[in-house]
Amino acid sequence: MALQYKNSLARYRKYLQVVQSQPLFVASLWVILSLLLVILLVVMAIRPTLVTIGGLVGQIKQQQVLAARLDEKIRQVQKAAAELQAARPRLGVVSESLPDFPAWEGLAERWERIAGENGVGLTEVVFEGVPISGVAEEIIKGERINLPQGVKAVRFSVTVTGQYPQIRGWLATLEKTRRLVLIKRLKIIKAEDGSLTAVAEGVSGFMPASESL
Amino acid sequence: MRNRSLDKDVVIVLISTLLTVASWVGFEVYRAYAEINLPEAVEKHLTPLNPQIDYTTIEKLEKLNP
Repeated sequence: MALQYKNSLARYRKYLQVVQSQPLFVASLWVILSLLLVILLVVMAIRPTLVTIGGLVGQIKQQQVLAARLDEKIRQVQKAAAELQAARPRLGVVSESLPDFPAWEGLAERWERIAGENGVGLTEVVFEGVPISGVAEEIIKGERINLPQGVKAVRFSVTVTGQYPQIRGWLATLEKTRRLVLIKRLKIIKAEDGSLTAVAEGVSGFMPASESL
Repeated sequence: MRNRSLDKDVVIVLISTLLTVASWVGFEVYRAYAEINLPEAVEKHLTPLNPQIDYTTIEKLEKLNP
């Protein structure tokens, strides 16, 4: 045991003496060890530090941009509130055109009045099912109608009788009412006695308050 | 000579490794800097708002029959 220890020590002593006598080898060894140490320090110490600093700087910049955008949004909201206040007296027509509930009784009353003004006889008014919830697209007898987002449809069918100029006048007045109406189909039938019957099918819209943009 | 050649190769490999590690650290730092972490609720409030009211449409509606 003691002899093995002495042999190992002698070997290492001889190795160090050899190394000392070869300065180029010593220098190479220092360079290699230095590079290894630098690599280790970069991976274990410098990288986490720089990543943390980079992340924090990025967050600071992001928060500054966010603050600027929020300030801009606040200015836009304030301006919108001022515009709304100024336009409030005139906004009643918007509610009239697109109310927040079906208001079919108002529709029927309006059509009755228009029929009287144009001299046509209102014989039938049919309102189909009013949607309470569901998709924005409405179907009228297989035909899809794309409505703006949040708008629901009141589907109707109106039948009037009269002469052709009166029916035309009635339709023209109907299309110029403030309550928005979309006539999708019009059928004019001539009876044996020569009188005309017009059937108009269409939709009128409403926008529930919960669906407002 | 053989030892010198080996040392030279080892030094070249280590220098290449150091450059690779430095590039990796650079890309990591840039990724940390450029990463965006915006809460969804905040993003929703940042949608642009047009404060102008469309008076043209209102005027058209006012011209229609009540």
